[in-house]
Amino acid sequence: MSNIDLNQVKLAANTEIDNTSSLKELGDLRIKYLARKGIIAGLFDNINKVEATSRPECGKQLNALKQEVTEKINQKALQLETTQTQDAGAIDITADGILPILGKEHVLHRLIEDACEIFTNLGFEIVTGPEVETEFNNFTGLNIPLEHPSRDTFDTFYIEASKSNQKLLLRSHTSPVQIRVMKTRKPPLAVVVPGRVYRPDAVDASHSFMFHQIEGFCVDKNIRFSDLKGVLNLFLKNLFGEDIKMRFRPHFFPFTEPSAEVDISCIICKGRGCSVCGRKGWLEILGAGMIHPNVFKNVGYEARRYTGFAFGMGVERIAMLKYGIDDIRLFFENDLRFLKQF
Amino acid sequence: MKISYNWLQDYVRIKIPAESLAERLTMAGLEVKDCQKVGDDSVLDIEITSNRPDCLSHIGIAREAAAVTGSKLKAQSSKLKAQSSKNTVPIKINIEDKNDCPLYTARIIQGLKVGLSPDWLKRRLEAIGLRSVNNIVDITNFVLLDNGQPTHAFDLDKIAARQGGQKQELEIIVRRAKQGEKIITIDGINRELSSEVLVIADKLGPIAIAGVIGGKDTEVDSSTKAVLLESAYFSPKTVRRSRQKLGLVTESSYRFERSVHIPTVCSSQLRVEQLLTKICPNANYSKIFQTKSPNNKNSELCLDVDIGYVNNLLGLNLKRNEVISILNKLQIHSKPKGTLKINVTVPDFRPDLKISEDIAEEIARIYGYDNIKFSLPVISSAARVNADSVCKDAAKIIKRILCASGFSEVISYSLVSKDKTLILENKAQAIAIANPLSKEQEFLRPDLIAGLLDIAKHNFNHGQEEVNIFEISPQFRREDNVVKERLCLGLLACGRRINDWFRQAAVKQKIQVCFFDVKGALESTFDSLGIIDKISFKRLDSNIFVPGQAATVCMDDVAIGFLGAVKESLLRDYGIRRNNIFLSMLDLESILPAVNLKKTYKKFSAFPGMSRDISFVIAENFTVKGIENSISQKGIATLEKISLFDEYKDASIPKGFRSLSFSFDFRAKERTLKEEEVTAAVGAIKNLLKEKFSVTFR
Repeated sequence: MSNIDLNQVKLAANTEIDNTSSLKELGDLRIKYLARKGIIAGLFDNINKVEATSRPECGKQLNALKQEVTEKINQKALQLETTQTQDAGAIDITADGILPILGKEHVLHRLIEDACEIFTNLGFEIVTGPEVETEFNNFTGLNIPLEHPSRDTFDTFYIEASKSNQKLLLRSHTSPVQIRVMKTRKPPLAVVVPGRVYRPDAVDASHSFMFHQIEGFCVDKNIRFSDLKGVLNLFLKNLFGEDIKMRFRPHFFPFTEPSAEVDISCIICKGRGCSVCGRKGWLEILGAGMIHPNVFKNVGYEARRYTGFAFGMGVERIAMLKYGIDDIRLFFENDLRFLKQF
Repeated sequence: MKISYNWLQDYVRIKIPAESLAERLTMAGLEVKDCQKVGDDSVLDIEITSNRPDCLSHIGIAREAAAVTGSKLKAQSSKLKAQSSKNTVPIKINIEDKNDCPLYTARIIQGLKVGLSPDWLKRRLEAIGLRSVNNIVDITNFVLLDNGQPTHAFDLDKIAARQGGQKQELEIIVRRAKQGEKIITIDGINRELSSEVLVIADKLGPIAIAGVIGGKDTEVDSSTKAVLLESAYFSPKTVRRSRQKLGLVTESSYRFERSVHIPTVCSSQLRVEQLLTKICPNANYSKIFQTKSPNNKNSELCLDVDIGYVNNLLGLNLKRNEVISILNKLQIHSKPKGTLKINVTVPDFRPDLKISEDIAEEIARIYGYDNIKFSLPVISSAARVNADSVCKDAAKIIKRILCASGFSEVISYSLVSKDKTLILENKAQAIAIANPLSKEQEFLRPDLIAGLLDIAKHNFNHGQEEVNIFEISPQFRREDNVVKERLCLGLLACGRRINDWFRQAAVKQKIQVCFFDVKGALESTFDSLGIIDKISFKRLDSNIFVPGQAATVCMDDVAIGFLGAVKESLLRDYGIRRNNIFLSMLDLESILPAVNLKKTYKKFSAFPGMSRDISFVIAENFTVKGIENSISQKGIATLEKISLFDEYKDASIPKGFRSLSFSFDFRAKERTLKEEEVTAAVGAIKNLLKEKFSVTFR
């Protein structure tokens, strides 16, 4: 190996690099000279044919050559990249991106998960229960007499009787899970119950015989009505935004005393009054109260040893308000054009 | 209930406008749905909860209005007195069962002149949307709206005419209807009765349905001269059953069902007399005949209420005299008892107040729910048990994997029509609804298939080509006479699998979903649930799937579900005119106990691996899984992965055979592999293939 060899290589490389007009060709040259089996590597392989004494000097020169060619190619690359505007490989970058096919979680379950997360962050646990229930868990245990006007709001589907005598029904609310949990466990309890419920309502834009509820309850010594207010205030602000206003109105539920209905300031008109809130500026959003002593009695808790609050809300209603959905049937029609929006 | 603002002023002086009153009543639990100006009056439409029958009258609302505005109720003219005349036909009241009717009063009023009502009376009724009929009917309606007690006037002459004009003895019988007995009610409907219905009858038969509606042939009309006026207490349960049986709710039945006020039953006779005297000065009144007033009904309930308990329950810090003064506003009188309690006397018009918590609510609603501050409960760490968290985590993972695989979650109705339960082999398992709304919702769904196919159909009909959906919901079956509710996963796939304009042109064909897409989605799910090693797929012959294109999914060799290509005939039954629709169902209840979400990091090799492909022709009766298992069992330590990358059949391959191509990845944990050992391993694999499966290499 002589200086001439090196000079020839250097000259050839320089000429070739200078004459290159595309990045593709330059890439080929990079392989030709610098790759593991390229020309310069070949020269390194020949180094043992050189006299031992001149080997260090030769190696030095080779390294210098390698560096020079590398730099030259890098420089040329930079130059080509900045000057080249039209390339054979140009693509129309305005064409559509290829969207990955993504499935979506159903908007109701999404909302249920979001809501439950707010409660689990507060220390609640999630419990679910069956949809086919007993009359005791759905009514009697909850202090709802079987023959009383207070039952009228809980019209119910019954299961055609089998040989066993127990009367079964499709739960008309998620509250039977209160009974299930309290019958098997002692306080402290902080539970949130999402689930599907049924009432024989003819289907139209705002009624459905099947819908979803989220129920919550908290039982311990010294749980107060003010705690219920605090928890729901946090929950509603988390779900609907900081600027929402909330009000508690006295109401009647057989399973709570005192009982309340909870309104939020209308999220459409911000409380000024619109068609959604019936010009009232308020939207009824949940029912709540302090668990009735008879309910505690029915699950076998000692009288007035514990106090507790409970609340329940309709998920569809919340979703309709939150997302501006005007027909409850959309949730169960499952049109993909609807499902994919959330 | 509609309430006239001016009418309220008869009982309480309200200084605030109707709108402000509406707001205050709402915030005290009497939700005003609407407040409208009607002439010089305002009408409040109030929703009365079922525990407050006392508020189904203007007097009742006036009491509440007084409490929320801090006004005093106007003193009413002292007790009304009856001015009965001597010459009266005796009324014999015959109650079949005191439980149905604990109190019945009746009197005869003669010398009536039916005519138009005076203006004041018309105005009152019309303001709240009632049409004026005649003075007699209007007065009974007025009393009902005024004090909440329904009264009924029978035309006395018409009753007499029924018994051939006999007027000597008048017998009123309160009894259950006989089976098949009929009555034409004042709305003109001929109603067939049953023993659940309580009626007012004379010797000949029913003349009214007790507490619900009067009979046509004893109705007061313009020629009426005398009436029998009834005011009674009918049992709420009895009236409820009657009106349910008849499918008829009236202003009367609504009030009886919620219980009327016993003292008002009697005073209403006098109230009618008081009003009628001005309108029909010549009327004369018999004495009031009545059954013995029930005991105890009048006695007032006394409760000891612990102020500390109330404050604790509400999160307030009220002093005892504050509590006493709040209760006073509601006519609930109380006095201190001991150092910490009060003794509360519950007024007889508030039968809803039975326990301390009821009193606490009264205190809170007058104090103002909105004035109670926010606090947060201290939730003890002992409260969290998280018994079924595996279930929820697993469901979450399934959703995440399937959504990422392009499946969208759906929620379909749990109730289906009878023909949608037919997929079930054993029809006795289907659970019927005893009181369905329609034929479409007669049964609880025994599986999720019908829902998924209906959703697919809906989307196809609306121009959606790609339908990849799943649902996690319970299915319901009767097993051994017990209702079994099992959480299931249902999955349906159909349409193209790519959304790729760029490569599609090159492929020149739409790539459709196939069996293996669905199988793969399930496999990734099983992998994430930590149970993939327990899962196997076995050939399934089923009446819903294309023969040879379905599998049973097994976990530890026990069937937990299935997947397959839906048979065309089933699709046609659902009105779906497409093919290549794949369906899967898994029983999550059997999977959940096996789910293992604990992850432990497994070291992977840092050394390079090598890959070799082998293609061969093999008899069709050997399965891919069988081949893979045989090779795996050979125990080649460096064999990391076997993957099928091609399968084909064409003319060049003999009938009954197919060509398969596998890729074998080799890698050692702690060193770089040598060429020779890979070659040796490939040789061993080839030998095995040859000996065991008689393959021909290509």
